[in-house]
Amino acid sequence: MFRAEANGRALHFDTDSVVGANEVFKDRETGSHWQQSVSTATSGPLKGTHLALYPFLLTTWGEWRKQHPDTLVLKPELGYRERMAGMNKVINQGLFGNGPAPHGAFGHDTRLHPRETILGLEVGEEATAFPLSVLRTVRVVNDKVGGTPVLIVHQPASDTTTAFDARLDGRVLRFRAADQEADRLVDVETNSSWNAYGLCVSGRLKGSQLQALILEPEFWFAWSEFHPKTNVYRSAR
Amino acid sequence: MTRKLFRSMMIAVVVAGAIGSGSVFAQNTIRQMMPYTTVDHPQFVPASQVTFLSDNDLLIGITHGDAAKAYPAADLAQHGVVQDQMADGPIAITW
Repeated sequence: MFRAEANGRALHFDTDSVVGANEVFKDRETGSHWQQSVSTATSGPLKGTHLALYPFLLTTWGEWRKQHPDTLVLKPELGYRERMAGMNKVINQGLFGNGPAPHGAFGHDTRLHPRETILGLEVGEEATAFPLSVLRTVRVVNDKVGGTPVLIVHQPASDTTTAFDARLDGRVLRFRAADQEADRLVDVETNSSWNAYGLCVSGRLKGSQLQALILEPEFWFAWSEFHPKTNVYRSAR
Repeated sequence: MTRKLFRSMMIAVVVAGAIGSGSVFAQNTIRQMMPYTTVDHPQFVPASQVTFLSDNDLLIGITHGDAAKAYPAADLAQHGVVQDQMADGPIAITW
């Protein structure tokens, strides 16, 4: 999910090829090629241009409409709608990290299994991969990426992960899960209660909102190839 | 080879790779693929009119101000790219 413009000019993308088992797009305006994993042009007139990520959330329909009852939803075209059930099976199978690297993956970094789903976070020059399998167990993570204290929250019921800058008015907060589902958290500093979307719902800090950070869900084989210096989060437990 | 054939072969490689080549499901899925083409003019329906999603289906959710939009993963994965316009500029949603 990225801004589709460069140098003030709108760009339109088509899927073009696959490199390192990761999609490469081509824009219609200049013919430049763009590696999906890093939203950066790898060839063509715009080579080297990086397109900024647009904030988004990977979640389920049940959870999204709970949070946004008035949401609009992309309507599938004829023919595609009928194939969504089959595609959901493929997608859900892919989320459990089984099997070897796909054809074409470079496989240089073996710290994790190639098909392990990670949530990638980039802050400044640093990148950290948070394995989904670890998040499903730990649920609340207090970490630091690029010098910034960050909070990662995982809600197992919908397999939803959110991330935030853990600073509020210059003060660093640390959190723990208040319940099994981690849809409520408590900050250690003031014991205020927060939801999984960075909003303080009760206590001294009620009404405060943490700044959201963008997590990039990706298979490890692609993330590690295009973010070679990435850290891997490992639970302390 | 033609562009269409190349694209369907690419899809076959990606899908077969994703769920293990040689499985019956992979063969059926490959035969039944729709064109893997960008959605340039996305159409949206309000939540109340959604009949094509179950609660556990994955999607990409985007908010801007008060507006919220959901792009179902099972649809995105069949197109590769959806081009859309937010209040602050054009965006590309990919799977």
